[in-house]
Amino acid sequence: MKRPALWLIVLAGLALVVLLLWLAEAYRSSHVKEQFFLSVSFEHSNHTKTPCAQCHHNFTDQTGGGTCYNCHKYSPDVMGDMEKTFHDFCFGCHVTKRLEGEDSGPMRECSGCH
Amino acid sequence: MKSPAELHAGRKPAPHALKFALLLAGCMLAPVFVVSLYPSPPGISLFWDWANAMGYLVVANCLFLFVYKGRVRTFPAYSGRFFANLHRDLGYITVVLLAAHIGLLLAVEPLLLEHLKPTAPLHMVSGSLATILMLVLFLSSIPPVRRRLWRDYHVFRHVHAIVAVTVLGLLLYHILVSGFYLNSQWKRGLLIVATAAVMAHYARGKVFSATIKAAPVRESRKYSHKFSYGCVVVALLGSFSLAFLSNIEWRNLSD
Repeated sequence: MKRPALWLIVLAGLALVVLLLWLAEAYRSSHVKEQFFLSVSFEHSNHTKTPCAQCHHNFTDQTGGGTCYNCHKYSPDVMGDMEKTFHDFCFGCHVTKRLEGEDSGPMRECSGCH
Repeated sequence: MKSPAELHAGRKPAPHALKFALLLAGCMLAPVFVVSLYPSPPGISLFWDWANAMGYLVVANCLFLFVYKGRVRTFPAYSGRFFANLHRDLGYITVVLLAAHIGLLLAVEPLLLEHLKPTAPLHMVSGSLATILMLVLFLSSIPPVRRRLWRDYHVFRHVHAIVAVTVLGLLLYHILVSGFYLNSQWKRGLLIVATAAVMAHYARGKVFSATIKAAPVRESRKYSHKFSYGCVVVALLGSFSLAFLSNIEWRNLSD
C-alpha cells in the first residue's frame, strides 16, 4: 500500500475537525428553540453598585425593548449564542471584581446562579 | 538464547533516563504551569481547578503522543519496544485522565450534565466529540480489536493518525473558546505555537518508514511503565499543588 505524506494526514484531520464542528453547529442551532434553560436566581439587590445600562444595554443603544429574553431567547440573530452571551457577561464582571480583590458573585460553578 | 534481562544484567542504568523523566514530567506539567501565570485565573474550588488541570494534562499528553508516536527516536537511546510501549502507556493514561477530568467535574457540579447535551455551547460539544473519538482511538488500538477491524496494519495507522489529529483539533477548540484559564492573548498564542510546532515536527517525520536511525542501547521494555506512570503521578501532584495555591485567599492571610 502506498504511504501517504504525513502533511496529508494532518490536513485530513483538520478538515475532519471543521466538518464535525460545522455539523455540530448545524444540529445545535436547529434544536436551540426547544432547548431547556435552567432558571437563574438573580438578585437586583446584590447588583446595586453596577450601572443599570451595563446589563439593560437596550435602554441606551436602542437595540430592542422588553426583557432580556425578548431578544436573547427568541431573536434568530442572537438566540444561538444565548447561553454563552449570558455566561460571558456574568462571569466576565465577577472575575474582574475578584481579580481586583473585591467580593464577587459566582464565576464558574453552575449552582451559584442556577 | 539469553533473555534481554540476562543480556543486560550488571550493566549501568540506561543513559538519558533522568533527562527523559524530567522532559516527560516537565512537558506534562508545562500547560498547567503556564495557565497559572499572570494574569492568574482566580480559583473556583480545589477540585474544580484540579479537574480542569487534568484536562490540560490530557492536552499535554496528546501533544507528547504525536512526538513519541511509537517509532524509535535518538533520544532516549532505547530500543524500539520502549517507544511502542511508551506510546501505548501514555495513550492509556490520557484516557484515564480524561475520565477523571469529566468525572471529577460532574461530581463537583452535577449541573454540568447540561453541557454534555448536543444543544450545549459549541466548545462543549467539541469536548464531547473529542472524548468520543478518543475512546474510539483507545478501543480500536487494543490488539485483538485492531486485528479484527483492520487486516492491514498500515490502514489502521492511517485511520489512527487522522482521528488523532481530529481529536487534537477539537481539544484545542474546546479549551481556547472556553477561555477561563487561557485568559490572555499570550497564553492562547503560546498554546497555538506549541501545537503548530508539534504538528510541523510530526508532518516532517516519516512515521510509516521502517528505517531505524537510533541504535538500541538496551532492551528497556519495562522502562516505559516506570517513566509514564511515574511522570503522571508527578504531574498529578504538581497540578494539585497549583490548584491548591490558586484557591488560597491571600488577602485573608495578609489581614
